Amino acid sequence: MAAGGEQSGKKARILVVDDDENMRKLLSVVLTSKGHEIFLASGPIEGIEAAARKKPDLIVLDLFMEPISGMDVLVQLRQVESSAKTPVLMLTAANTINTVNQAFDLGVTDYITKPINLDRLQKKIAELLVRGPQ
Amino acid sequence: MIRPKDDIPEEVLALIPDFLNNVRQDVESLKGAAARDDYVTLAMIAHRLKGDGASFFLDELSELGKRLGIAVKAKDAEGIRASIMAVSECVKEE
Repeated sequence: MAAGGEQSGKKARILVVDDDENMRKLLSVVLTSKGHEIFLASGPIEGIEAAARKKPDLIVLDLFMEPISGMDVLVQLRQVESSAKTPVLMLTAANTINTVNQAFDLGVTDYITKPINLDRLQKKIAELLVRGPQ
Repeated sequence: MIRPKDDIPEEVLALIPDFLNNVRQDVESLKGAAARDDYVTLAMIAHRLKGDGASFFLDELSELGKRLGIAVKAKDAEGIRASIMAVSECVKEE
């Protein structure tokens, strides 16, 4: 995989799955500015399809989406060989122990709570890219 | 009109006009949802305003989203109306 983004000078391929257009734009601009190649999916179904098609190095996945949640997307991603070990960073407004524990049980790699702190987001992404497939 | 915080990154600052246009559309959706007592749509948009406002360094808008969410949860029609008006004023074009 292309590790490290800005750190290594190489581009990582990152898929952003979020049904909020504002967040997609924000994440796209911020992560592109760090040298990453960004793919955008505007909903959960599109996200599952894009993950299979693009085989990204990392997936940024929103929790609250319709018609299926980010948790459901995560389950499906983990059942497919091409995304079974891809690092997944979940975006969630629900910073509760239950939500976080459930996400880890289902195979999420890490999570970050909204509103997004851009510095923290970039740090987490850099860490996950260095760590590589789980 | 609302101003972002001073420490906003340049690349985010460039996104603010489009973001505010989207919020103006949200205001129309909020008015329609309030007229229909559609609390699901009201809560969804309030939640998004709260999160997106803060992520775009617009704390005032985030606070209004939070207030709207509280009014929606309480099914407080006057609070909902006042919060929608406040959001509308906040993102009004100069």
